[in-house]
Order: sequence, then structure tokens, then C-alpha cells
Amino acid sequence: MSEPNRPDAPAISAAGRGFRLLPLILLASMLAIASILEPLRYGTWLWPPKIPLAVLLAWVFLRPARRS
Amino acid sequence: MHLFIELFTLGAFLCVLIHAARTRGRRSGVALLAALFLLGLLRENAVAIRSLLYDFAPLTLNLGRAPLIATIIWGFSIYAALVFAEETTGEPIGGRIPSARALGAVALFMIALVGFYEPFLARIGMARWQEGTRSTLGVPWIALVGYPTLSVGFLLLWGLSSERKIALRLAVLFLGLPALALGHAFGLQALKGALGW
Repeated sequence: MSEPNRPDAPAISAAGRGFRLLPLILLASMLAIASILEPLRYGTWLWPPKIPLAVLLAWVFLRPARRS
Repeated sequence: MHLFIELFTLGAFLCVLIHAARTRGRRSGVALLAALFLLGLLRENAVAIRSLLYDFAPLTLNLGRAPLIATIIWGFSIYAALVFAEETTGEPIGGRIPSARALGAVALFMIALVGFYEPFLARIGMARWQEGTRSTLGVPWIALVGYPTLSVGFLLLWGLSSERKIALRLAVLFLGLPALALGHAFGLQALKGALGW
């Protein structure tokens, strides 16, 4: 993991990046499940407090892959 | 519904255990998750036994006096924050004391997590904060302090122990982890009272 942004380092594969981000993918799936369960079971979806986490996760997933 | 969430969280914890073992080396990864597990176990049992901060709904899976989910969610969350910080700062965390930038990223991520966990847990009745706890949109103000401080405290302790030889490392962890877990639970309760939150 040294020199993570070295320009000549080989680009990481999508699968490799997916595994590296696995904990965040699990968290995103929890957020999605909660966002489905809430309106189904309780009638309303309390979305405003979830925005900061959704933004941070979207930022990580959408930014260019860090080279390994 | 509660059992589904308990089992899902247990599965997620086992996934990050495998992730840590694969990406950090088996020994280091398992040791990191074991330390996080111990931290959660001690802290949540202190909360349950001394009636600090919040109480729990009766759940299926328990460890000591605290629900298993409360114990492992700390490990899962702090590890996810660590991965977030590594991904965004490019700094590997674990083998040394993290930089202020990496710790800031961890703290930011944990604060964002409060907005997801706390309103959801309150709504489904899995955790109930003490009567009169001040909150906005279901987010208890004191949790905005509690989440990042426990995470940053743990990573500082872990980094400090990583820079020591094995005997000193174990001493730092076995003395430091209980001190951090209990100090955080009691300290946060005292701060909550002092601030009137």
C-alpha cells in the first residue's frame, strides 16, 4: 500500500477495488435496506439525517480509483 | 425485524473480519478486529450494567448483559471509517499512529454514521436514550461527540501499541482498551450531564 498515488502504478481492477471497499459497500446496503424498511413499516422515511453518510459514500464510490 | 437486523449485522462483521485478514495480513487483521470486538464488548456491557446513556430492547443474541449487535456494531463501524479514511487520504492506518488528516476523516465518517444509526434504531425500538436526551431529527447531540471520540481514541491506542515491541504492545492493549471503553462510557455520561444534553 506504499506510494498509493504513484502515476506509474498499475490501475487496480474493478473487482479488487470492490473488495477493498467491501465494508463501505456493506454499509451502503444497510442504508438502502433501512431506507426501504422505514417507509414500508412506519409510513414515513426520515431521510434528512441520512444525507451526510449518503454523500460520503457516494463520494468514495464515484471518485477515480486510487492506484495500489 | 430485530432478528433480521441482528443477523445481518453479524454477517457484516464476519465479512469485515475476512476483509481485514485478506487486506492487512491474517495476524494483523484478526488482531485489529479482535481488539475492536473487545472494545465494543466492554463498552456496551458497562453501558448496560451501569445504566449509562441508553438502554436496549430485549434482543435474541446477547453477550454478557449487552446485545451482540451493540458489541459488534462498534467494530464494524470503526473499521468502515478506517477504510473510508484510507481510501480518501491514501494513508495506510494500523501500523503507526495515524495522521491528524486521517483521524479527521475517521471522525467525519463516524459523525455522518450517527445520522443513519440513531434515528433508525430509535424508530425500530432497538435502543432508547435516557429520558430528556436532547436531539434533532432523532439524532442525539451527545452521540455526535461519542461516535468520533471512541473511534479516534481507539485508533490512537492501536497506533501507539503498533509502534511497541510485542510485550509492551499487549500491555498497552490490555490496559488501554478497558480504560478507553469504560472511560468513554462513564465520561460521555458525565459530559452529557454537565452539558445538559
